[in-house]
Amino acid sequence: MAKINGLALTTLSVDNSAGTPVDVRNDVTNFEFATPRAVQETTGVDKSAMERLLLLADFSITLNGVFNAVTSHLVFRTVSSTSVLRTVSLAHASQTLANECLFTDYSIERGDDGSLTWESPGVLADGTVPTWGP
Amino acid sequence: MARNVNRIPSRMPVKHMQTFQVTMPVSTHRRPATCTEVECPQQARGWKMKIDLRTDLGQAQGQYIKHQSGRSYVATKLEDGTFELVFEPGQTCFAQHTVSLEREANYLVRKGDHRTPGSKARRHVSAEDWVDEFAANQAKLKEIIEKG
Repeated sequence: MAKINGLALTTLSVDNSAGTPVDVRNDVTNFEFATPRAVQETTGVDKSAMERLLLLADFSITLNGVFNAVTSHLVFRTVSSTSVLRTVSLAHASQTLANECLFTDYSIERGDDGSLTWESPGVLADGTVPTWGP
Repeated sequence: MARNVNRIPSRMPVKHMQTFQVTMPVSTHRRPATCTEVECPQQARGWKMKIDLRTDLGQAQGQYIKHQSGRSYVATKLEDGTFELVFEPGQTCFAQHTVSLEREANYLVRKGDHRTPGSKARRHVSAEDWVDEFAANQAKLKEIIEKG
């Protein structure tokens, strides 16, 4: 699969407030997807934790990036003023992971070196386990 | 990378979590870029800024803008005592732009989540391997939950 912009991940898009996916790969410096571990290596896993694993799906995402007034900023600037669910799509070759997310912040910070960066955390908005698939 | 952001608290103990991560740090994956390269809207349309010369910061800004920046602007004193500077289009803005170097990202898996920002990470040599591990974890989770 040909790389686009140096990423073997061919898609990293986030919906804007109108529900239109926007490719934010050029602005993103970090993308994290936190998920329960399916295999618990430690013995004596807390029973309540396992029960919660069976009942609930705890997933969260975090995106970090460099400020771009014409791309990612236009997507995330409405996070604080809207409660819309946004599709976050990640794709590699023929596999796609698409999640409906609720972003809870868009924090912009100026570093000591003058750089302007942002961070936006979110949680999954529905109860289904996110899976990769065609 | 930890900063104070508004998050919905995680419910699962952090010891039962793991994070799949793709990183493209600025230091290794980006280079400085011009306003023209990034199609900077401020360069295209001009921009405004306010400075307060009654503060140390405002004085430093004013000194730089007036004597070193080489930009053209029109200054207007506002009622609150600050100054509004309007910069003409066609000039480089004051932001530091960067563009991607188009290098392969780092594909990492680490224990914990945002509550453990410094946790040790395993690095996959390829996106394929990272997706494989990620997909296997998610498929197993789905199987566990569906079985009940």
